[in-house]
Amino acid sequence: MMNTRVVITGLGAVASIGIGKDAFWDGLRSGTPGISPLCAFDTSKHFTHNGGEVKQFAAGKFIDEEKLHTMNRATHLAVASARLAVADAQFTTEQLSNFIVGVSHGTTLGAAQAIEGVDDALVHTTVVSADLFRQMPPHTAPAEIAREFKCTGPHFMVSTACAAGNYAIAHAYDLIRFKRADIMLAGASDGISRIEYTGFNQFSAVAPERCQPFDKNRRGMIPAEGAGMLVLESLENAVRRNAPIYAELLGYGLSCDAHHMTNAAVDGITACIRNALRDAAISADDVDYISAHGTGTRANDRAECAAIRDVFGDRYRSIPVSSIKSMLGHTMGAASALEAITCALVVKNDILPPTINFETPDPECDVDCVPNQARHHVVKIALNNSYAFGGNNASIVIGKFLQ
Amino acid sequence: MRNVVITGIGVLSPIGIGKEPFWDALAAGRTGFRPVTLFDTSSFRTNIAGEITDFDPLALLGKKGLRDLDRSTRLLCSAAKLAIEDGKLEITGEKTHTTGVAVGATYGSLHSISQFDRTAIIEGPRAVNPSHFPNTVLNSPASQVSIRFNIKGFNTTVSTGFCASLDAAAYAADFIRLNRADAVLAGGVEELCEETFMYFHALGYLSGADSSTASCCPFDARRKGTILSEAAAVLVLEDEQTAAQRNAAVLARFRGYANAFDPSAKENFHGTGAGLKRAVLLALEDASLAPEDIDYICACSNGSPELDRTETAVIKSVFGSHAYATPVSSIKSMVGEAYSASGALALSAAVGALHRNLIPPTMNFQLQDPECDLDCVPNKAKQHRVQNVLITAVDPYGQSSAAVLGK
Amino acid sequence: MDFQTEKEIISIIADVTGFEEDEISPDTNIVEDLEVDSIKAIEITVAIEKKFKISIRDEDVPRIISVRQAVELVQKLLQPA
Repeated sequence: MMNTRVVITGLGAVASIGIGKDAFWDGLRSGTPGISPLCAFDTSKHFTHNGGEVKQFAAGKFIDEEKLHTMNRATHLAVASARLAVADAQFTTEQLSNFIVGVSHGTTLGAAQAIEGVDDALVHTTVVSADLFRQMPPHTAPAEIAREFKCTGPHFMVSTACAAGNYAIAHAYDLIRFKRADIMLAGASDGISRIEYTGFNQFSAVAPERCQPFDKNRRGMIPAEGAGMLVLESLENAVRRNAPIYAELLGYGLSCDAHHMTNAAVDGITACIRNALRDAAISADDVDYISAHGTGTRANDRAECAAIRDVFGDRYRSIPVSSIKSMLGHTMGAASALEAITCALVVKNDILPPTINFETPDPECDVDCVPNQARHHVVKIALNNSYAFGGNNASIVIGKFLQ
Repeated sequence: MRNVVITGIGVLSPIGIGKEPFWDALAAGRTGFRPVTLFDTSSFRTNIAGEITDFDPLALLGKKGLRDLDRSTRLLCSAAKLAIEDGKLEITGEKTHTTGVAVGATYGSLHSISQFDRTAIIEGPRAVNPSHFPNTVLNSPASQVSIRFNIKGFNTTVSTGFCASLDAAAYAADFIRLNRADAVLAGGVEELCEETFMYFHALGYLSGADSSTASCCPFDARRKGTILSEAAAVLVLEDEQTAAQRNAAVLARFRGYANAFDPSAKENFHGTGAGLKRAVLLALEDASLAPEDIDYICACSNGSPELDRTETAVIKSVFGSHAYATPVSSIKSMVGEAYSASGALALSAAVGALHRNLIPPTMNFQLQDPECDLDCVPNKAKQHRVQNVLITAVDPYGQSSAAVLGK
Repeated sequence: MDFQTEKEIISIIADVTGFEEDEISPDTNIVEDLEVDSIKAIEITVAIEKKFKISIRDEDVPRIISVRQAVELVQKLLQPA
């Protein structure tokens, strides 16, 4: 039963650098930064003022007008990414209804903007609109996706912060292998959040202008928003309906640092990577590309590179490691989902997205970070890393689909 | 594939703290509803909730590291501690890597999130306490369990609302079956706070919101809503062989689970019948059991008019002629609606039923509703041979989950 | 050194770190002796800012290692410009 192979047949990305798989991939390849002055809330009293908002996103393009007010930003982004992914997988809603379709979704803060709206009303003692309450729980996002596509299959919401996307994809992978679903819509979303922006600002962890992962002078991460959705199905199902296949999900690993709520532990990260390699039945030598968690904070990038050196030994400098957070900023729960989409496109096209804004090497982060320019590179196996607050780690292994 | 057993339980509930006190309270039909003391209820039309008034985190967890932990985290860590002690689980050496944590906690702590945000609004973003920022992520309580008890295998927070902790337990069972872990602390937590109370009140879930006296009377014709409560419950799920190797006392078996989504779900539990039926049927199939093998249904009915009616209809549809012969009770008549923690509480109660061959009652039952006319074990616990228990959960946004425990 | 300022700063540090006030002296190394991580260091800074109604982080903050250095910085910032 657990021999079912799981493939990726649809991709839906909503990010500051592009909406839709093609625009997203073009943005990645051209090294376009998606950081701009924040509009969603007042940052005049914060230390920084920029973020990765998806300003060009028009929810009305993806969701019926009369439903818009029942959903908050994170859900708008999620439903849009699901629509894009399902269309990309060449399904109509009617065709989907012939299968058992489930939804596995991740987030960091769920309907943050609904909570913030309620808080505004409470503080200013104005009436809280019923809409805001209805939108408030995080699991309204997968519910609206499931409702949109009339899914009746297994349903899951995971909230493991900045690694949530990988956790959602991992669980979807298990569900297909358990044969509890034919098709899974797996991904994650987060809307730009004042709460998160404030918290990271208070940590002095936010870079003012540019996100510079692995750079010696990096000043931190940049909060952002987005949604990434993948259509996963069994290979058998994909072949039967002649679906185009981007890549194969080969396995995953999780771990927990059990150390500190915000400072990563190197041994937790190495354990996670090793668990993923073992689960995918590959060795460290088989990895051709790493999509880093690469937030651009001093602490994360240092710890992540130390872990890569530990796991990959002498080879570590020959494995390209790029961080698309250099372009998108940190899209929170959506990050690892958007990075999984990136890995699927990497193995499909043999092109690596760059780590942009790279100027000065840091001896503590001396990996090949694909500085500033995308490049061609044959990638049979990509490793997608994510490390969340609370030390919740996840790595998934995405491989070139070979018959 | 490996078998999953339950070897330890830790519970904090409005009717008792600890596995045996909890089971004793259920057997005695004790209810845990009282006027709220944790926050000001004057702007609400009801002031009754299932508050845990005898919770002493200092006694349970000690002073070190307690200061910055919010109530959700304190409750969950306490439940984890009690579960570890009850199961005599040793999490040392290599076992730290083969043990995991799976927790149902929809918001983590909605109170922590909201207070952090409100401080920023009122005093400005530079006045927030940075030590409270980590408490705003939904996975904070679960992660603190790992930090406190050195659990490194994996740590996952599930946020599916009313289904959250039942789903977390199933996730844990899957991980054990998949050889990703040998033991998992699986559970859920929900803290009683102004913000969640406000949410329940605004959406019309609470009994007493029409200014009548609040009452949680599932299946009763008078029912008008539920009573919100707080709880934390953690169960030690373990691979059967690993448990045998360490001579652990097995409390129950985790026999099956399924969940489903119902796209026709509307407000207040309307339109969730098809989804619940599907979840129950699939769960029975997963457990390789027929409806007549179930001796007790630990229902999710909580006094919400439509929920209790729907659950009754689904049971009749699935169980056919056996429906009237199968006791169905709602422990929420005693512990209230503990939202994210309700599934873990129900699992804990179900284990008690299996262990003691005693079915907890549905309390406050006075007036029969012809649409909810199954044997709800009214007002008095029933001695009955219990080999298999079905546990359900329904979330009004559309998901339903069901699990089966066996002796 | 201003005794009142020192007393208030020690009180803040004691509250944040959980150490007793009499365990904290002007020469106590905040990071090493009191197990203060980066988050707690910011928490102490924020609490001092609130207490004295000053803005430490807009300055080019020298690393505050000891209680004495914290007091000196606060006094400097409290002086009329």
